[in-house]
Amino acid sequence: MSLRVGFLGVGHVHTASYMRHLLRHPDVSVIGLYDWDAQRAATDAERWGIPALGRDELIAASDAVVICAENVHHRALFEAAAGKVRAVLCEKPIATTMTDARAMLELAERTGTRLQIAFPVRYAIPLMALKEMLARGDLGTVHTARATNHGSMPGGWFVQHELSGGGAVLDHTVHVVDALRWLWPGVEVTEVYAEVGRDLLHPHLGSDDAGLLSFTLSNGVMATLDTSWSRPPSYPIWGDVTLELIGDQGFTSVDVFSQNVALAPRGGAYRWAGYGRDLDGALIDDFVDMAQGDRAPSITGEDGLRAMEVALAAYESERTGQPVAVG
Amino acid sequence: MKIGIIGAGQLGRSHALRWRQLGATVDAVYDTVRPSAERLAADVDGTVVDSVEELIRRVDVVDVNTPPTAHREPPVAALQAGRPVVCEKPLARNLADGRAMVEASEATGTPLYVAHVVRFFPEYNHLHSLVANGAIGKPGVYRSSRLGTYPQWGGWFADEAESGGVILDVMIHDFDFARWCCGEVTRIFVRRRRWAGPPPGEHAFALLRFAGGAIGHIEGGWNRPRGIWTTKIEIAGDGGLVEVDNSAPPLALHLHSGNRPPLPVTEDDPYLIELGHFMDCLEGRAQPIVTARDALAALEISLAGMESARTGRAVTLSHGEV
Repeated sequence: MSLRVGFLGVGHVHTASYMRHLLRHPDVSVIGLYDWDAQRAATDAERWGIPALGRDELIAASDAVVICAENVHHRALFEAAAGKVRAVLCEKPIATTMTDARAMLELAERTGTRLQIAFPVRYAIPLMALKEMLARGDLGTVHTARATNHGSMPGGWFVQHELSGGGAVLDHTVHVVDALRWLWPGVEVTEVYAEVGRDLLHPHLGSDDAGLLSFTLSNGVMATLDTSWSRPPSYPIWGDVTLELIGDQGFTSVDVFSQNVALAPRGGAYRWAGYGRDLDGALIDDFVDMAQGDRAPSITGEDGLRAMEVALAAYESERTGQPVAVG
Repeated sequence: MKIGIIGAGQLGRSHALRWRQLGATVDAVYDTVRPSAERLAADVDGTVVDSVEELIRRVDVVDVNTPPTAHREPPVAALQAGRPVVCEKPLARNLADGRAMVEASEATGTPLYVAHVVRFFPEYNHLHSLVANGAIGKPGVYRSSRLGTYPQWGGWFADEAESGGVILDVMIHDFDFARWCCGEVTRIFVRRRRWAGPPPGEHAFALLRFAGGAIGHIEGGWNRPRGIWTTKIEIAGDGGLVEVDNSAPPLALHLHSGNRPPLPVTEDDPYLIELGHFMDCLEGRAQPIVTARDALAALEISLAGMESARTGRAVTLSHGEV
């Protein structure tokens, strides 16, 4: 029997990608979508050829749901679904406050509804290979990690903090922090310093649009991360996820989206056309597999909370002008 | 133009050869290690002198290439004798020495040119021109990287007391260049790591805040496997982005032997451009694009970065008081 999946919120830009993968998944039937914005729900329902339903009606008909609403709505939607569906895939960040995230974790524990956070970077083949290299000890003792998660300014509700909870720093910190925690199981971020830029690259935006984090990990690694929405529309690719590790035996560098072909079409913009693994597809396959069976999610609510905590600490460091302890 | 070289190591030699290419005479060479001075003097038809004083008496321009701990007395003496000075970066190993040098230059009206060579690398110079001409609007996020091999060839580079380590020896290039592109630095936070190895290594990440609101990430390190030397820079502004990656230089040579003979010195050579510019300034044909005050500001940023690395706290710069 196929897994019945519903969408709780379709406001996030990743909705389209998750929807495409779920619609063509042989073991899934997408039964409908809900959004608090009736207009948006109707538009998406027509686009994907699935019904727009009431929230609780959709939950009642679903085995699993995907939360793709604005960040501040994650908790309420999870609370509505917990105990009623087998599994939930929640877009990152898990929430916008520690209180909300903790409430979600506690509820998942109590109801048995399994919560998975959407960190597609974990499915990147170069990073999976790096994890193996680290387990093998190729680099010796690792001393530094330098990461970037540059992007283009997404606009829309991403820059309205009453809906997003934060801008570039919240949006991008979570991906890389999760990747580092996953590369080194059991390792946590211990201290964060941040220089945050507001309206720096996009005047009058009303949001942080640039962020530089310097942090330490519990395994002794010192790390930095650039979360800036610094890729202009003319840049040949939307952004990047890069990571360089230096150990006493050498260094290694990962550029997740460097699998691309430079394309210069007559009459179009020059761009880097990617051919690498579809990370969202791999994430969806993993989620569906988990929801169908009884195993624990590979990316847990705790993972989502720890990643968000670092982004919130970066904002705290912005306020104090000094490093902030985490955890 | 008669040049006197103080410090006949790698950089002193590099400068001496280029002065000659520019038509100047390397008249005198001084080094506390006399055989070094003799080797260089023989190669550039110069005379080995026994003291800094003698060198200053003989020449028109004094070019100082000693470790930064030995930067104060010779340049100050030269400036007080009315001899223009070219001095390798960093300006000095501490702020008091740096101030004394700048004050000697200003008090005597004698030029002090500090060799912040990155400003003269054609790709950096061009990038700066684009930024200065508004190609990317107002700079917002500055990122640069300068990574090479640990200085295991002996000498003083690996000795932090002498060189200041990567924060002072390596990253000062980028602190100066970042300041040239983005304005005064108001705050710095640095994490730095050194490891014993083998092989030993050192690496530092600096986060900067500029007076205009821009932010910066500057990375410097001595930890690359032998022969790997990379620099990268990217500046994003509110009107666009510029980036340079030197991993594909305009000219490269790779030999099966693994040998790396020096590439021919062309008109694109940054050291040649740099010394040529100082010569133009000395002969009244140009205004310096890097002043002694710029060098002092870059030194102050580096020293504040070292303090941050030591204390684990962000350091606010008092550049207005320098």
